[in-house]
Amino acid sequence: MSKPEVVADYARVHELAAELAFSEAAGLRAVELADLSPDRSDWLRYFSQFLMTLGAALIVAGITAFFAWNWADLGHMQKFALIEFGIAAAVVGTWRLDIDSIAGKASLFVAAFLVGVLFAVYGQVYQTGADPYGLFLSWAILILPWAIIGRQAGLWLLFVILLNLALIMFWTQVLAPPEGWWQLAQLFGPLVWLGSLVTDSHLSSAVLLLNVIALLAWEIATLRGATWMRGGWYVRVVAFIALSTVVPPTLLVVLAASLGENIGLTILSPILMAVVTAACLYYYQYRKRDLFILTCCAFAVIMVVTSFSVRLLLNDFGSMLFLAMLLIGQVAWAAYWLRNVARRWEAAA
Amino acid sequence: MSKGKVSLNELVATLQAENLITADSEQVERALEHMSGVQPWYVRTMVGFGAWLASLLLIGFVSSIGFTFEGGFALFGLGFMSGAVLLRRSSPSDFMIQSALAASLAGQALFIFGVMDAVDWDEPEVIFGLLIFLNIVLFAIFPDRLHRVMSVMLSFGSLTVLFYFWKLNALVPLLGPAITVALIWISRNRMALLAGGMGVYVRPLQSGLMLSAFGCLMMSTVYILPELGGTFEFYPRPWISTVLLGLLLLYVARDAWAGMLATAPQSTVVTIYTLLAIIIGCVWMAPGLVLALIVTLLGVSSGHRTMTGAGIGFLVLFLGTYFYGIQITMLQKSVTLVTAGVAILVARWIVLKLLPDSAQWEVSHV
Repeated sequence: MSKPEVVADYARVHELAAELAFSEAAGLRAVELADLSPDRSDWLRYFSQFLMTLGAALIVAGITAFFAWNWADLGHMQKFALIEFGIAAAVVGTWRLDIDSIAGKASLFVAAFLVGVLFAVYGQVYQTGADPYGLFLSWAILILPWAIIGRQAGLWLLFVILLNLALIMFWTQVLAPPEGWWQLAQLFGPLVWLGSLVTDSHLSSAVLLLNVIALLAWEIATLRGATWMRGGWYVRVVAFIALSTVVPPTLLVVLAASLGENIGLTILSPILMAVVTAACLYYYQYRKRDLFILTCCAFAVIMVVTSFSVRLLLNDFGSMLFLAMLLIGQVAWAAYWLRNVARRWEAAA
Repeated sequence: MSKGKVSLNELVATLQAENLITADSEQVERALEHMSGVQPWYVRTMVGFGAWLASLLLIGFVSSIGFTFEGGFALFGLGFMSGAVLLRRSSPSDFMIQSALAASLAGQALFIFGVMDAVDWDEPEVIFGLLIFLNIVLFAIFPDRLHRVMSVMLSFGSLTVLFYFWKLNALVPLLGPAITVALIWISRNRMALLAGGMGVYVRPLQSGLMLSAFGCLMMSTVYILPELGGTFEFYPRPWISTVLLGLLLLYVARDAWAGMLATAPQSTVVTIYTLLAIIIGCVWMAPGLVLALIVTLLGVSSGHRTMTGAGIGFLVLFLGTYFYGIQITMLQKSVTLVTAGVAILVARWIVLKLLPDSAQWEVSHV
């Protein structure tokens, strides 16, 4: 049987050094051979990319904090002029610095983010009374052309998050405003209404659908050869969001079915969760390898099975021992299965 | 060989050819076999969360049992911990590992509750002192990486709580930098520690110290309204942490400079250190940003991608929490963030101008 080609990363080199009792010289040589220590070129690359991203992020956060402060002595037009100047400068920066460079990408992201700040200040100044979904939707629509030409995962993720927020706000404020005591949640601000995701199966299904479309579109584009889309973090974040929209309502349906009749919980959530989890388990195991998404799926299944067992078995304290053993067994099985999947991939590589 | 794609088999073969491995081939085969089972951080997180949840259920079960003598819970807890250690040492199966983790966590809680119940002590010194003691012992004898990480975190968490009970709030800003000193020392001397037979402790210590330092610095964003806390200061003078962490950042940054400034003149080095000092000054009230930079740098310099990711993740988390904190005004936050951001971009531009052959990175294509 051929030995699997296991990559010599930080964890494995150190585990190996501990297990085989390396001398210090052997350990340092292993680090050198595994190329773990960056050379001058690596340092310059990290330095350039990290500081550019960090600097841009801090400036954007600072500008947002400045306008959140709502300085009364600064006139409306001055506020708008400042933000619009920022957007224009960032766009010119993108053009001058090259849209495919790290500086150009950071500059374009800053411009896209400042569009949202502009809308927020507009709402602050004119108090239009418009529903917040309009802000997120307009923001998303306006940055869409930049996302298309920008070809960066960060911008697309911002776009998807804005669409998520717009959909949730539209649903909870226009399409199906909550009734009764849940209306009081509005007193704590519109973002508290994100909690509706857990108590409304139709809303959580709509948000799930949105994220599944975002995920599928990305995967299809990657398969068609869009090389800039090959990084894994966009897929992981969107898959995580998708599962997060459907797992909590499913748990609530399982744990408190009678409660579901009074709010918006239906059998739709568990069905969709089963379908999405099964699809992810198949696709990210056999078609595209992603252990993170498989781990999320395994954890979701464990939570649902445990909730179901709690519902059926939790009659007295004695049943807690059984539930503890069941949970331990499931997590142990998941760890074993994930390890085997990783080994299978390594052997096939 | 491309970066990050060297296989362990190739690496071992080279080390054997250079006579740097003394273990026999059977041991090497066994070790290589074991290496393919090393789990990534997210699987360990899932396992840890599962163990914690299972320990709560175990505590619920044991607490339902009535004892006719005082200290029954303590004995039960001690039994759980001893059993967990034996189980973990005797079996490599996933079920046993998971059971041992849950039993140990439940055992600690039951033991402390039992001792308090038996001797009628409910002083925080006893509770948290016992927790620290138990975790120091378990760190040494419980052969599990995840458990050791939890032990480090529980120990430092308990110590921090004790600081508040002893009204030593003034020392809290020193705790994060002190933990960071230990983290830096271990990261720099990890190979010497490995060679000295401390290999199994190095990585859990690194992870535990890093997470404990994150926890300490996150407290700097917590503010208790005077109406609620009177004169209580949760994290007094955060700038003390910034100064100390700033000095540590200057120290850690030597790795980066050694890699980039090997041929640069002295004036360039001085300029770069001055720029770094200015950046540290700009984030005077946000020490977590400096810690994030230290952890990221440590991760990059050792090729530890999880640590690099943790540093960046903490930076985002700290920034978000700092943004919503109410201790300082939005204007102060704005000034802090914008000046720091501008200083960082200016520093980047100057450094890339000063360094020879670095023009290609100024507009680096990704």
